[in-house]
Amino acid sequence: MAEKEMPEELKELVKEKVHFCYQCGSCVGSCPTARAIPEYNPRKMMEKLILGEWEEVLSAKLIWLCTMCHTCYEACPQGVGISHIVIELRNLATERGLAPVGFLEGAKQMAATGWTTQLTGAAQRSRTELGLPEIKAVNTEEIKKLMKSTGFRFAQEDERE
Amino acid sequence: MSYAFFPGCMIPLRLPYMESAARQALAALGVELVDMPNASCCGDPISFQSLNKETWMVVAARNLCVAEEMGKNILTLCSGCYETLKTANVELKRDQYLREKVNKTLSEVEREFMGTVEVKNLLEVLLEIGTDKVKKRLVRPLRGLRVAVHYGCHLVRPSDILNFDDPMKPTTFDQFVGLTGAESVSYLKKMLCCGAGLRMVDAEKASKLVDMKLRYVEQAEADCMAVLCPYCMIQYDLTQRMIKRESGANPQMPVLYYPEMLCLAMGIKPQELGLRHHRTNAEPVLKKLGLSA
Repeated sequence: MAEKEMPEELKELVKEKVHFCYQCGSCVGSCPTARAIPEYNPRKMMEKLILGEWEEVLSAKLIWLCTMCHTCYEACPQGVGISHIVIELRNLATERGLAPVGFLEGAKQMAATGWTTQLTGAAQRSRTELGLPEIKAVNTEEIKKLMKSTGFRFAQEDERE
Repeated sequence: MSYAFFPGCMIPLRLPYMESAARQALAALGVELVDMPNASCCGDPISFQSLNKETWMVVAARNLCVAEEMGKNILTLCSGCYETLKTANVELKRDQYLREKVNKTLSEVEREFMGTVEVKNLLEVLLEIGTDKVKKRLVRPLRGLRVAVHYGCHLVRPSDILNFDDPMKPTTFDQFVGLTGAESVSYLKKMLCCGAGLRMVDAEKASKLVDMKLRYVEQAEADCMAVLCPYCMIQYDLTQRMIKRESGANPQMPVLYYPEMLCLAMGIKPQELGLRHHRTNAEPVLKKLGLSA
């Protein structure tokens, strides 16, 4: 990334939300990912955003480690809404082609079938055995149209098309 | 009572035994479940929302439109679907600007969000039926069973949007476990996330979170765990066998889906449920309840 200016969306977010963070650490104290991966630290992430070190935050793999449990969202005394900030950061990173493969897989499925997961053979057999109704296909044309008109990007490669 | 039935992707496509138990329990309680024609994935609150929040909102809104056309409130089984659909519903109802923007996109597929339905989770539907009425159907109480309740994050958080129970000290699920005659045991780190959201990028650490919680569940001498969300089910039931402790031992904690407990308490035979499709062994639970074959 060779951008000098902080993207407008992010500037707005820092001004309206992140700016209120007073570094108490309630977020990191309640974070499940931080328990398993000590390098993941939402407090530091907010600090970096306030200090303008946004490129480092956006390009780091760390933002993709949040489980989205929203515990920090509830724990934050300043109402920063950290998990929702992480969503915004991931959106911005995706626009720059930085989304991990694991996240993109579900979206590819979504465009192809309308579901983010696949029907496995074993599941099909157990549906029959349990007497469950057959799975009906989704009109994926509608889904694809909506993905396209909202500017959904699968990966960096898309840019070349 | 009749609902637009939204089982999501994970339950019907990967864990059909959950769908079976939910359908059996709700049918016994007189709830009609009507399929939603052409409903898609909710719009996954973790992977899909992370990539493009705008697409996520529009896909969720499209699903809401399907229920609006049916004129029915939605019953979601998966907590991820609950968070996505309820967030979209709440935000689109209160934010006129967002609604106009989303409706402009939806007009391309000839749909329009009207804001005429509600999104419910399974426990909310049981509350609507009434706990007294549910209890009357429970002819075979699960007495003596010690259950570690796992709420799952997206059932209660973010609380300013979901507005269902306390986000950090909820009690509804415990009460419903108690209703079956079983005992909800208290244990440390009860609200710790299952870690499913981490699995896409770091499976090893996602399993570490599973192991952490299992140790507290074992310490509380629970006979089993009870869950509501399919992602929590996969974490605790399916990935449990991947955990190898330093001692070399594997954790062996049965994991039940709450509607399975309801079915057993209603006198539905264990063989009629898909317990054999769980990766953990439910037999010790059945044995304790005197329900072994």
